Amino acid sequence: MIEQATSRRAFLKAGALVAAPAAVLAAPAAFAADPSAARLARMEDERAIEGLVRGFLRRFNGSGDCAEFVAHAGAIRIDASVQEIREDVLDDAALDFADDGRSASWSRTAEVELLADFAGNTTLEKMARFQGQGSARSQAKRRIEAEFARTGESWTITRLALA
Amino acid sequence: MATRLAYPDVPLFRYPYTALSGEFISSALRAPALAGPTGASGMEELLARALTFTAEGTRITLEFQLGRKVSVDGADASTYGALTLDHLTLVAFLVPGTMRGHALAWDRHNNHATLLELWFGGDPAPHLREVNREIWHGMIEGGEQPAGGMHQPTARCEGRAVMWRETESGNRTVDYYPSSAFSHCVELDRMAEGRGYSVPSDYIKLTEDLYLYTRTEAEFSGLMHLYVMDANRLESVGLRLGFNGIDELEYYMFRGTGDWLGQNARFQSFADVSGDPLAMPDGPKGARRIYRPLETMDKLTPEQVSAVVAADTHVFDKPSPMAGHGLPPSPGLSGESFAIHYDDGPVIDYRFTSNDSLEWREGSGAWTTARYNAWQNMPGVFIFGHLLAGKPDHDGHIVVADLENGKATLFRGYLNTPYFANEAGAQTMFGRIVGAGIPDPGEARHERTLDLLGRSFTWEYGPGLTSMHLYSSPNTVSWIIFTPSQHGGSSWAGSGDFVKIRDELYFVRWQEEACNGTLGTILINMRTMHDSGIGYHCGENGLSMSPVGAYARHAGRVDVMQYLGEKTGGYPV
Repeated sequence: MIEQATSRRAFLKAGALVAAPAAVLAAPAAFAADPSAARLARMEDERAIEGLVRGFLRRFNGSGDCAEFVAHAGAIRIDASVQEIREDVLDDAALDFADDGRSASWSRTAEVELLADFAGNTTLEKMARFQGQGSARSQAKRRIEAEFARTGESWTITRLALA
Repeated sequence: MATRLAYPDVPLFRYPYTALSGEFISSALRAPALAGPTGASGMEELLARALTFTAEGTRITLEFQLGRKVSVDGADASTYGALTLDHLTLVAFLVPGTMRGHALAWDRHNNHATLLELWFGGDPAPHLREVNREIWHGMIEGGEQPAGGMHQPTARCEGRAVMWRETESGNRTVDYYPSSAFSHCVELDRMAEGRGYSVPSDYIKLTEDLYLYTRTEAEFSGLMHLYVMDANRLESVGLRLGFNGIDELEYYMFRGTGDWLGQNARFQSFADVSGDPLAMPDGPKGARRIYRPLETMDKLTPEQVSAVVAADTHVFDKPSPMAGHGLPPSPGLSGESFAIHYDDGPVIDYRFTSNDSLEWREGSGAWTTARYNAWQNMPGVFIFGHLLAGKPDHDGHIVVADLENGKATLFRGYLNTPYFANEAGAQTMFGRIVGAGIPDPGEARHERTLDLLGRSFTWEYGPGLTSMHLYSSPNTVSWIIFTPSQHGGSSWAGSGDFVKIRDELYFVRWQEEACNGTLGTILINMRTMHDSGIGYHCGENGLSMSPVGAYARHAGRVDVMQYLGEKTGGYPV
C-alpha cells in the first residue's frame, strides 16, 4: 500500500498546526527521589498517553482534524485508504517509557476499516466502475504503533503508524 | 481490409460491421414480417383466437387468424412462428411497417408468460443494427389464474455450459453461462476459428426445467439469439433475429438439442438465486448495462505511442491494485547470469545485478540496463519481466525460467500493432536456458497445453477487485467481473495462450483487444492457488509494466475437449 503523510481527510491541516500541549500531565521527574510519587507520576503519564491515543482515534474516526494531538505534520503515517481505527480492547497495550521519561512508545492491535477506490485505469477497475462499483470496503487487523514526546506539562504524538 | 462474410474469418472485434440506416433495416424487415420467421419445420398453428398478455406496465392483445397470421392490438397482420417445448410455446413475429417485433414464452400449463419486446436500435443501443429488448413477466388473461410466482431473472444457470446443435441448420455453438448478465459463446460451424465472445445476456427461470436465454452480439453484429431450453431433456426452441456480417437479415426459428458439458461454481451466498445483477430499473426502456469497452479504450497512433513512451514509462515503480494479494518480488535471481536461446528467435544474455536491475543483450549487441521484478512462485521457477529499451515496438519480455530443468518460455509484448498502436500484441516463444549449473534440456521445451481448457478460476487481486477467468477455447481467455453480491457480471474476452511449465504450474496470457489494450500474463500455481504475473499496458498515461497477483479459487472445469480440442491457440491476430 502507498503510505501517505495525510489521512483521508487531510486531517493534519498542516498549515494550521499548533504544537500545543495535547495531554496534560502532572508530574515531571522531580519525584524521582520518592518512589511512590514516581509511581503515581508514571500512572498519570500512562493515563495521559492512553487518553491522548483515544482522543486521537476519536478525532480520526470523526472529523479527521487531528492537528492538536501531534507534534508535526509528518507525525501520522496512515494510509489514505484507512477510514476508521478501532482499538482491540482485549489486547493489552504495550507502553514503554524512555529512561529519561521524556518520550514513550505504545502499541496495540486494532481493527481498521479500509476503503479501496477503483479509480485507476486497469481493466478490472474500469469494469467495476461500469457495474456501479466505485470502491470497496474491507476490514483488517493492524497494530497501532505510536511514539510520544513530553512537551512541558503534556504529551504529544511524534509518530503514529499502522503496522 | 477484412473480407465481407456473413460470419467473418477475422475476430469479430476486428470486423467493420456496417452502420445500417433505419431505411435499410425497415426495407429489409418488410417482406419477412409478412412471411414470418423461416427455419424450423413443423411450425405450429395456434388454436386460440386471441391471447392477451398482461404485466405490470404493459398489456397487449395478439389476435390470431388461420395461416399463422397475427395482429397486435388491431394493427396490420403479420405471420408468426410458434414452436412448443413440452408445455412451453415460443411465439415470435415482427410488426409490419416497423422495426419492432415480439417474442412470447407462454407456459400453457399455468398461463405464466414472458414477453420480449424487440426493436432495432438507436435507443438505448447506440447502433441501429443492434437489437434491443424489454422483458415483461406476466400472464395470459382468461382461463385459470396462474398459480405460483411469475417468471423471473435467475442465477440458476450461472456456471453451466451446453453445446447446442440447431436441428435444421446443424449449426453448433458451445454456450457458456459464466455470469448472470453475460454469456460466452463459441461458434463451431459458422466460424471455424474456435474463438469465444462475451456478450450481454438474459436468463429467465420459467420452470424448474425450462429457462429462457438471450444473447445480443452487442459491439459486433448486434444480432439477437434467444431460446427456451429444457435443462433436463437438453432440447430447445429459439429465435434468431438480426443482420449478419454481409447485412443479410437472419430471421428464423429453430429447434435444438444439447450436449451437457458441465457446470462451474457460482459464488453468490447459498440462498441467493436472484438474477439480472446489472439491471437498470430506473433507466429508459430496454436499458441494461452493456459493456462497450472500445468506447473507453485509449486509441493512439504510432507517433503518439512514441511520445507517451518517451515521456511516461513505468516499470515496477509503483504499487498496482492488481497485485494487492501478490507475492513479494523475489531476490532469487540477483547475482545470476544466463542466456536464453529461443527457438527460431533471439539469444538474450542476462546479468542480474541486483534484486531489481539486470543487464541484457541480444546476440553480440551491447549490454543494456533495465529494471525488472521477479517472482518465484514454485521453487526453481521464476517469472520476470523487463522492457527492451531501443526496440522500435517497445518490446516487453515476460519470461518464465525454470532453472531446474533449463526451459524457458517468453511472452513477448509489443506495440505499434495494426488496429490501435497502443494495443499490446503478443508472441509466444520457447527456448532453453544456458548457464552455469543449469541443466541442458536438449530438445525438450515447455509446451502448449489443453489442461486448462474449460476451466475457470476466480481471482481476488485485492478487496473488492475480483474476477473469474474462463479458459473457453484454446485461443480465448474470457474474464468475468463479480458484482458486490458475487454474481457474475460484465464480461469480455480476448486472445489467449496456455503453456504448461510443470505439473499444476501454467503460464497464461491474454490480450485485451478492442478493450483496454493490455497484455496480461500470469504464472498459475495450482498447488498454492496463487499466481504471479505482469501486465504490459500502453495508453495515454504511458507505457507500464506492473505486477499482477491474486488468490485463486478453482471454479471447476467443463468438458469441451471434443468440440474445441482441435482448435489452435497462441497466434497473433
